[in-house]
Amino acid sequence: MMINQNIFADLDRDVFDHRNVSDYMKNYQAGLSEELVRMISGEKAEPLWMLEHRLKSLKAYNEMPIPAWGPDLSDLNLDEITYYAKASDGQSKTWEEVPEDIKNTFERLGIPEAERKILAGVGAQYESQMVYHSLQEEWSSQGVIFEDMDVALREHEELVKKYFMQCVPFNDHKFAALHGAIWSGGTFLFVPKGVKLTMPVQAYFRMNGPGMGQFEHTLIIVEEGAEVHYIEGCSAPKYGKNALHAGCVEVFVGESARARYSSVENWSRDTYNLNTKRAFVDKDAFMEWVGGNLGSRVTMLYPCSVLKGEGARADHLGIAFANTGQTQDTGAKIIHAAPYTRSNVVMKSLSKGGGVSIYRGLLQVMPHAHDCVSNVECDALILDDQSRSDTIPDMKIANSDVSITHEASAGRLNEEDVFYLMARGMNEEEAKAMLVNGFLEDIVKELPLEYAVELNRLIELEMEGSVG
Amino acid sequence: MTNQITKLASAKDDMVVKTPFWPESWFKNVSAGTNVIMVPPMAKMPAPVIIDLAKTGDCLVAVGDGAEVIIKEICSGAIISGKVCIMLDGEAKVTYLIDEIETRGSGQNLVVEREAILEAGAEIDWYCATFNQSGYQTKVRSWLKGENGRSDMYWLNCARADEVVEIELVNCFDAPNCRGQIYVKGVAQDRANVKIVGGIEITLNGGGADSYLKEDTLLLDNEARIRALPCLEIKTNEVKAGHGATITNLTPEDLFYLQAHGIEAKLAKKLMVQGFLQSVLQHCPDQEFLDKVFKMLSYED
Repeated sequence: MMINQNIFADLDRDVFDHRNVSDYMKNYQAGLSEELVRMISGEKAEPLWMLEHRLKSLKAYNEMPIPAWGPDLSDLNLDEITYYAKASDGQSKTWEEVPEDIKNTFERLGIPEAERKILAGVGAQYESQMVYHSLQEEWSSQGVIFEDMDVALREHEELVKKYFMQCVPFNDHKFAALHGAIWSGGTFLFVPKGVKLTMPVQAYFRMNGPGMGQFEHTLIIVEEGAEVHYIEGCSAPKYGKNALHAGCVEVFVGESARARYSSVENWSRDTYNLNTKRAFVDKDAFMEWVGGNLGSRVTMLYPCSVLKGEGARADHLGIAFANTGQTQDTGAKIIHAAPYTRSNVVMKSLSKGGGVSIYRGLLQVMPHAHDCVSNVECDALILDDQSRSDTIPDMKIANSDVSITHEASAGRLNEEDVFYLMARGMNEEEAKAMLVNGFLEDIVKELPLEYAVELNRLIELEMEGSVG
Repeated sequence: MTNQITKLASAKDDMVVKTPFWPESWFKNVSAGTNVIMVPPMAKMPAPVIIDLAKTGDCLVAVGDGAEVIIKEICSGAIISGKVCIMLDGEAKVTYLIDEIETRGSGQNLVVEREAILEAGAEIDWYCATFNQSGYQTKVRSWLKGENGRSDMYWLNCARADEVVEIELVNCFDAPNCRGQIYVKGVAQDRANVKIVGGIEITLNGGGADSYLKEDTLLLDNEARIRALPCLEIKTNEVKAGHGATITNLTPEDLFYLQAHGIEAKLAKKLMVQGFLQSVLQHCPDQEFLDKVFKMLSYED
């Protein structure tokens, strides 16, 4: 693949923090009610079963308590969140049809250019609604479906009904119930048996209005022997008013299939990112999660792989960067529910300027899951004496024929390394940024080139002002 | 004699010692009928000091500046609970052996806790062997509140039959340049259920800490359960902190090797388990304690 210039070369913090005028927000009220849920369902002309599912979820949401563990969520006022807002009237198939201000936002973020160069398909969501979706003809002719969830619910209802919230049930936890009640937009990706997508598909989620909540639902079905790489990017401007992202990602990886899910989550510093991601992995299938968490005020995100078929495999690779005022509570959950399953977790975290990064993991081996192999590694870099790093891995093992290893370390940048680079003409900030990028290299290299560049650039931005 | 010891000696009726981990009320109770053992400064105790939880009940041990002592904790009868607090003044050295081979609760869910509070330069080595326990929680915590302290924990745990054991080991680094490692080796077989919680806490004062936590477990039978929680909580950056955990079975290749050299499978398995476990107590200075542990390990099924 020849690329002359990096798409994200000119990226800086302003690109993400830039906001559009959000007049349409006037039409939407904050707070959650049954009327709102019925209004969303009615506006989307959803089938009855979906409305019933939403109402069931709302009931569960009202009954469930806020999680008592993990980061402090007491500042998150759920009554002040705008749960649903539409900034445009519909979805476009061509980029030209997308409303000008929305188009500008995504162009600043480099989305259309990335589509032209490296992607098989692109979706873009603005507030609660997908504004653009396209898939190259080559793939749609082979039966690949890449649609907005709302469209998929209309056009592929049976398929959606079969899989929707089967992996993450609505009563899983409070925010899954909230999601079940007011989910809107998101991606539906279906890759039929044997089809191998050689180019990644991408969706980009953007919150623009203040105090907004985004609840997109991503449903990925990869049938037997198929392969796909799905990339998700997320951002929002900063308002000084809390926003909420409670998305849900469900991935069904069929027998001998392979799915890779990459995400770079860069929400604004006033967003609570309480996302749920889970995959069911069938016999001999392979699921890979590659994630970068940089933004948000509080992140609680633990992608989960349920290895339910013999010989299933899962890799979790993640980066978390907690800067001033941020809590990155991330990790990986792996459930070995079948024999001969394998998992590998590599997590790297950075904390700086008083930021808190936490690795919270679960590794569970079921009684009948013999001959499992699991390796968990988590490394933490603490960049100053005010920052904090916690590691809380939980291993529940109920089968004796297993091999489990866990290794973690925490420490700071080696001063000798910094000195070495400075002796070669770098200033301290550049030297530290280079060492941090080196620390993260194992994971960044798993991202497609352009996204690796974006992530490196974002980390350099985060590292600014680290000296002093 | 430092303030701490003086305070203990003069405060038999109204003793209040502040610790962030144990409530003040416990220390108030200590004064009512708890054994207070005091080791004078610079004393080098020739024989181990025995704490028998069944006879002495809760216990407070104060070790003066530069003193050296071996403490052996046993339990000769059934108890409801057990608490031991050890205060180490500057440069004091304590070797604390916990013989949990015969510890028994008189009811369900026995909890035995020990805490050491270390002043500057103090050192403590914990050695423990846990056998034949059921519904048992055992906890050890070192609070390194003076600089250059050291706390090492070596734990051997052998759970068989229907035993249920919970072990919690924490090193809290609350002063500069402290060191400490926690090393747990355990075997779970038959239908045993084991939970091991290990923790390294480094507070804002704990710069220069050098710490490591390792939990190795052999899971020998399919009905045995193990839950390992090795946690790190680090609030400052100038530290070295790491942990490792492994959960495995005996490797069939090693078993085959021993069998190929004429050792029958059952014995080979036992030898491998013994070899795996013994290494954790290799630095223990008390031969009597080691002999007892090794005798337990060679116990015939």
